[in-house]
Amino acid sequence: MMDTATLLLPCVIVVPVLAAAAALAVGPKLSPLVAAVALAAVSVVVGLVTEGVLDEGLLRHTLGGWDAPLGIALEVGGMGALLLVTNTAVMVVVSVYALSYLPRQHDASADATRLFWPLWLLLLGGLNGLAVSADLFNLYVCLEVTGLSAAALVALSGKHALVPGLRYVLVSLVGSTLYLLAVALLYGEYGVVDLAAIRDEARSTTGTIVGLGLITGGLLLKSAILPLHFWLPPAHGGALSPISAVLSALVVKASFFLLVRLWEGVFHDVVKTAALELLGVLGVVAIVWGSVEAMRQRRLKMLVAYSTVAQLGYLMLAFPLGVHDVARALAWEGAMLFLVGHALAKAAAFLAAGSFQYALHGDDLHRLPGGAQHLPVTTVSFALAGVALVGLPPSGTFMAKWMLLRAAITAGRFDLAVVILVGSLLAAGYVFPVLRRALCQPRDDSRWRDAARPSWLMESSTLVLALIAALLGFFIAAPSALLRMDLTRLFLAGGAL
Amino acid sequence: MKPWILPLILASSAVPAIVIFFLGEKRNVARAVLSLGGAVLKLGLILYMAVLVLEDQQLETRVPLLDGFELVLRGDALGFLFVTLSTVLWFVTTVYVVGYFREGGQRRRFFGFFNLCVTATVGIALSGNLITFLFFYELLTLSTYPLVVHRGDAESLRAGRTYLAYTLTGGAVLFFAIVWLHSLAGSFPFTQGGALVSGPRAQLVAIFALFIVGLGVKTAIVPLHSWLPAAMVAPAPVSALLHAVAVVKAGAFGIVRVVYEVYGVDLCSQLGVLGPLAAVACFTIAYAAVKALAQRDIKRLLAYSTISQVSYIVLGVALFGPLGSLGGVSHLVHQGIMKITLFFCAGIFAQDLGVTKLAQMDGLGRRMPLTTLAFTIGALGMMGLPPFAGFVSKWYLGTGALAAGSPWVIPVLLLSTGMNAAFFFPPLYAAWFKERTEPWPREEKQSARFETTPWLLAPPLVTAVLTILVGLFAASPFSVKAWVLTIVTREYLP
Repeated sequence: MMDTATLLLPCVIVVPVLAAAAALAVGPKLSPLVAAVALAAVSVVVGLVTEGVLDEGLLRHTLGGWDAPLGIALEVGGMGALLLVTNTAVMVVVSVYALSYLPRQHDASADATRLFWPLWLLLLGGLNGLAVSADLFNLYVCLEVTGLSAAALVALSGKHALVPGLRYVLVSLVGSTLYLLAVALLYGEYGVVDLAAIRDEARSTTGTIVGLGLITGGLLLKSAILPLHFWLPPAHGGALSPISAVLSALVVKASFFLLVRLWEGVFHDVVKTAALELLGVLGVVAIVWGSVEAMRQRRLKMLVAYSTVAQLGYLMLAFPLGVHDVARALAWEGAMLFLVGHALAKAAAFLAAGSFQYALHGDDLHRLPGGAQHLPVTTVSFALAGVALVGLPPSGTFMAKWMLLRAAITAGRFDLAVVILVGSLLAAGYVFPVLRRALCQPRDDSRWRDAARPSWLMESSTLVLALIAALLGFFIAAPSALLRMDLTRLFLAGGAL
Repeated sequence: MKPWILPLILASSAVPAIVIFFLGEKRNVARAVLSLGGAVLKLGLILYMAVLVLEDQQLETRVPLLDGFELVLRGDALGFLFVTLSTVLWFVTTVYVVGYFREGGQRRRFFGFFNLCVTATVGIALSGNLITFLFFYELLTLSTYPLVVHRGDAESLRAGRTYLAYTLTGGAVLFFAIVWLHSLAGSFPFTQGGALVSGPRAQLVAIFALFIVGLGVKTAIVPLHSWLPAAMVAPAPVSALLHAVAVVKAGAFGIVRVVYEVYGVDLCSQLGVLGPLAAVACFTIAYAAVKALAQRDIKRLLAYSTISQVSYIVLGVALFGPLGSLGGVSHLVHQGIMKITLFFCAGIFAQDLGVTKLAQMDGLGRRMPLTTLAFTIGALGMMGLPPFAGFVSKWYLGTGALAAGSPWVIPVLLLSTGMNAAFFFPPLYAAWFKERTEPWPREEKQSARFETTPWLLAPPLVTAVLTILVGLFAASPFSVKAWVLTIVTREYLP
């Protein structure tokens, strides 16, 4: 007999998907209400699930009582629960922002009001599905749902976003196709799609290697890991800000999480050290190159988008660090905490950028002087998000970098330790010039006289997210506990993640 | 009361800072009241803390964040010294700031970050372990940046960028050192006599070097010092703050903590790192003094003088033996009081008369006798003349050098004294004995009674008097010297 948390687990997927349909049916006026109810319900379920995970370590729900290999199972451990919490929290706050922001957008396509909330809810369903699905095919479905709804949201943002949106659709489909090919190969190889079952059988055959390679290619593409990142800056920089926030904070992380599950959980005994080192190199290049590109941008949202490319590099560093057993658990704890910390910070940064863009009718950096005086709350929010992006205490990303650094030093990888530190300085290199401009006096005040005022809902939701990102270090005990449960289970007992 | 006293000391400036950010730009009185009120409250709490520390009571507040990672606030003798210096000088600077910004310019932002700055400094003083120290160290960087760029013009922004580049890099290096040390030795609080017992030699030396680099940026050790002269574009109260209390002293204080309470002076001696540290300090003392001679701008002269003088503290710490330590640590207080006096006066000269260059100082003594007198006292203290405070610390540094068997330090001290005389004497002579031939560069209309507003005049006079008193009463049991003696004794004989 399953307890409440396990019983309700499918709701994290089903409720948003059903609500999406409902939102489409009731039309643009009432769809925010449907979304609010759905988000509230999902929050409650996620809370219960997290509590359940803290009690039992792993929750497994078999739909309809049919277990693998024929049925669909959902499984969530500490990492999955943390991801669920992050998804829900960011979605809720950004939804509050979107509620106020959307009616003020006149450039968005005519369909935007009608389709935003349904697509938004569908996206949440897909993201949650990626966190809790336990077999390859279910994961494929969730990947597709996530990718297509995200791409559609980008395309909704207006004429200038059509090309990036279309590119995103293509990229998403290519990624999913690679993934599907791989699933076919792996199914042919192992005869099952359930992750735990594959893990038990995993062996180093050509089919496995090729399959894993294809999946990795697809997932790296979806996570915008350099050099497959080219689609991200235009898409995230061009979309409406709440959409950009969720894309950078959650969507790219979901496919990355899947990558981690496969490499470290399922196929850990199969992958070669050289491959892990290669992933690490991609991470290093992403950190350096992404930061340099961010420093060169003239538009705030493009700067923040390139920052995402750079910061994703940190996540990749856990792969080579994990090669050394002494550092493995610490490296992955750091990487996952970084994932959460960055999600909060990046969402806040995009929301702040959106407020600036709304006020100044454009997000060019040269419009920012005077920002600190006229939009103090938004400037402070960006500053706090910046503190978290650079990784200064007491942010969650600082704690994550602490762990990554400790892992690097324990593993003797001083080269990676230097990269981690240099990355922080490079991030400061693109964050502080923005703040510097905002603190400057403008040459003439005319721009500010014509400025629109962001609503208090927009400003306060941004500030809340930024404060959480900047102060997460003080509350790191709970996320850490969730992660450690999974890491112990994974690395000592050989679980499947 | 007791478990709360340490967080309360922090809150006495943090809460006003937050409230000030929410108050409107025009609420000058409310802002001044909050800041001064917070400063008075902090002074009271410090006094209470003094009583407790004298009774050797353990004051500690712990906030565990993770396994082996906790924030610790602790009131010990060394921290008390720094926190008292910070609080007293902050109080006078707050008075000065109220008088300095007579009209215009973003006072809400200034007062807000000003108070945040003192919170960070006090946090550094009260930190009980390296992690907490790092937290407040980075907060100090972040809260001082808006103060440096306060004027918002191109020069200020450029100086701010240099400042951030240096201090953030220093912070990253410090971060590296702390994480590395934690990997080797686990987490530990600051311990009198040193927390580390032994370890792999090469790594400990490397980590020590990283500590010195990371802390040395804020301490303005050559060649990490370039941000300091550049930061002189900031308003005078900011320069007074950065140079007397907050940033440079935080760095020097950090070095004192690392040598005494992380490594311990015995381990440092065994590792052989004290010699190089002393050499670096001497080089900084000499180099900065020479550069000071070439300066024409008053504040830049004072900046190089600061760079030179703060390294006395590092030198004192690097000389193995209680006398050298006594000289170095007491100079932490003495230099603070003297330098803030000089900067206060420089600020008055610039604000009221437009005098920013040494060449413009003719006849200042006649026009602003009290201010120039305070300036003179500060300068004489810098030279190390008795009975001013600077003399006491130099004396102990000299005797400490002899006791430690490093007599080569004495010529450096003498040279530095000589150079201080060389660059302070001409402006002092010009101020007192030369007749003014041209009008002042920019004269503001003043109240007839005093040479400048009481808000601006009182602080330098107070600190000048303190300079004299601290020097005169050095032998008394309540003096700075006696206090430092307690600290040093506990270090060498834990």
